[in-house]
Amino acid sequence: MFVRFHAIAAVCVYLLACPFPAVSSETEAREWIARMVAAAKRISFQGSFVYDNGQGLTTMRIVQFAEGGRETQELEVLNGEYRGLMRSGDDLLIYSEDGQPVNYDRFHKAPFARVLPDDLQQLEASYRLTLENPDRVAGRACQTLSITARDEFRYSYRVWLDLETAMLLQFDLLDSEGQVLEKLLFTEVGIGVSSLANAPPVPESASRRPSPVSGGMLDAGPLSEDEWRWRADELPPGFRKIAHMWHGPDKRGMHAEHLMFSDGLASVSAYIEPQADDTMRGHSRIGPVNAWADAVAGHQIVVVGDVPMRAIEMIGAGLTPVER
Amino acid sequence: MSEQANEQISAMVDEEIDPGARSFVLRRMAEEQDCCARWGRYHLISEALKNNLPRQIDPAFSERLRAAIETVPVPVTTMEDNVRPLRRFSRWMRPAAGIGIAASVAAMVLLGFQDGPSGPPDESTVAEAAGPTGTVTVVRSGSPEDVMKRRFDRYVTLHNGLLIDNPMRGYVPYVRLVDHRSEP
Repeated sequence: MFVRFHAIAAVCVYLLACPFPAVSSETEAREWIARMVAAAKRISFQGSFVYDNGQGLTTMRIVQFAEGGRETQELEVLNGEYRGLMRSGDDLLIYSEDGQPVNYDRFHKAPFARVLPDDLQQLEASYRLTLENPDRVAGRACQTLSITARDEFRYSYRVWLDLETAMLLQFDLLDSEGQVLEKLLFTEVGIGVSSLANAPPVPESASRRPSPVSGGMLDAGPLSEDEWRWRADELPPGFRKIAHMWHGPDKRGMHAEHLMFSDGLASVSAYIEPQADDTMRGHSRIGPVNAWADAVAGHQIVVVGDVPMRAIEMIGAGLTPVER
Repeated sequence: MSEQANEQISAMVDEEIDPGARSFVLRRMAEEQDCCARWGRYHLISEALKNNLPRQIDPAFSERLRAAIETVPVPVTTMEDNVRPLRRFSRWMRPAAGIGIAASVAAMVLLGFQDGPSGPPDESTVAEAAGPTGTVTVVRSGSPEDVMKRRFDRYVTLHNGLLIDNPMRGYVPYVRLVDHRSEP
């Protein structure tokens, strides 16, 4: 009788305990993601990493200073042709191969701050968060997380976070078959770098010019609902529109209407411009970024994002002119 | 570390490694500090031999390079105590020249997109290329190819530029902005 009681008790304890590791894992994974988000804005560091997006390996060096709410990042490619980037606040400078600045533009604040990181539960509608085994990257102990897509409208992620600071030390972007589409791996890192307090501010007069890359489209701003000319009738599950903007010299003479969508992690942009002679049609891919172009109702539509092509095409096909 | 592992790292530096072995080496780099250090040394040496190092380089970087070449094996040090920003600010006041991130979408245009009016293309302007998504057609309809490259660059740049404030993505959008390959 005593043995039977213990057996039943053991089974009850097992049944009760079984669900807890999964719940605990999800909760802990969510906490780690929150830590990672906070660390991205708070930690100063420098290091070297390898980047692979299927086009070949690139070695880069990065320095980030975060102090008093001000962030400065510098990034440069160490192999092959020289490229570099510097960002301070909203200012972004991209260097060419000969070390000269190529453009100096003010990127508009993206709408992500309104979306993240407070809505991690929404993220879990599209992704399954799993705490994986501890690991080591660049000589530092890490916690590994899997952020697995729940459907085929998005990619999955694996991230390795520094155990001490939650800094991102390795990043894998995976397709539905588990193939790595993009990998970033630190080989050397120093966390907690010295102050940038004495660094000169970004000079306002410094060669701000229409970017040859952006074609002057970096000037942008939000559009109010009564100014929308296009709408998105169909979106992949979990995605929602997070921005509706204009790009161009000014709102009245805008070159493009820009709708941006996100599921909290992945993001897609749709650009709609008046159709020109050199219309683009078709689809393509570079690394994890898919792109699709078509002409609709006298307009050129281009949709780009780091999501599978089916998500890109669904968004593109759902773009419709607003009738007034 | 085995001789085979050294050879694999060396092959990866030279981009002469097959994808399967590359995954193995990357995994090993994630786990072994010595492997990481060797990768760094080989890369520095390789780039120095090819005269590919940037024209301007911070002094600490030069020191490490010299040490790596002269006294292999030398561990690559972390920089917590001797931090220098990367060539910062010195170029901010210089005039602009060239296009820095134009090539990233060159492959996209060549490999995937069709440009030109709808309807059957002019045979004389059609070229084919094998891309990651299969054989695709590039149609030139009087529009210079580089114009199309710039157009696609514009979209990707704008998109990535807006991602830099996504706290979920950390610095990955920066990397995409800077990374490019001239030709596939």
